[in-house]
Amino acid sequence: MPINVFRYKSVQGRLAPIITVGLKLHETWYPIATYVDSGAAYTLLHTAIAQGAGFNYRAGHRTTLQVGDGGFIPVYLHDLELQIGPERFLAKVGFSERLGVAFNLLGRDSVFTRFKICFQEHQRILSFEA
Amino acid sequence: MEASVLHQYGEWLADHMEEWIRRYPSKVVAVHEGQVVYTGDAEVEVYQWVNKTGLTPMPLVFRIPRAEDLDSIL
Repeated sequence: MPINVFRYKSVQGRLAPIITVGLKLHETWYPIATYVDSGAAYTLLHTAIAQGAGFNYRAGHRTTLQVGDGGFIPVYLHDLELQIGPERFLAKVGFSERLGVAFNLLGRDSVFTRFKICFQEHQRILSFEA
Repeated sequence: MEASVLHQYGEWLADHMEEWIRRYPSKVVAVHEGQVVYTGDAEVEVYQWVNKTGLTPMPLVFRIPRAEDLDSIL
C-alpha cells in the first residue's frame, strides 16, 4: 500500500501536523495547508479560499457544528474533490465564516476512513497509508 | 494537481515556516517555487493577486500562524 509521509511544521518551536493537500474548486486545483485534526468531523475551511476562487460556498448544505467552547458555528457543506499525495477522492468539505481557529482543518469524513494515519511526533513525521 | 507539487509545498513549509514567521508575522503569503511572491493582510486580496498573475503551478496561499494559534485547536 502506498504511504505518503509528511513532515511536521515548526511554529515558533512547537510542532504542528500541517500538511498540504489539493482542493478542487470549479475545475481548478488549489494547494491548501491543513491541520490534521482527528477531532473534526469534517474538513473545515475558511471561506477566503472559496471567495478567492469565486466559489459560491453558501450554495452548500447549511448545518451547524459544535466546537470546543460548546458553541455552534454555521458550516456550508459540499462534496468536493481532495487530493492527498496522489490520491484523489470526494469528501464532505465545510466552509465557515466563523471557524474560530487560524488553520484549515483536515477532518475525519472520507479522509480517516480512506487512510491509516500515523502521527509520529518524535520523528517529526506523519504518514498516510492508502 | 501533481502530487510532486503538493509534496514540494509541504517541504517548503517545513523548511521555511520559522523564517517566514519571523519575516511576515500574521501576514497572508503566496508561495511559489519556494519563494514568498506576494504578501497581504487578507486571503481574498492574495487570492485575487494569484488569480490575476496566473502563475503555474498554483501558488500556495496561507496565513502565517502564531504559536498561540495552536492552542485554539482541541
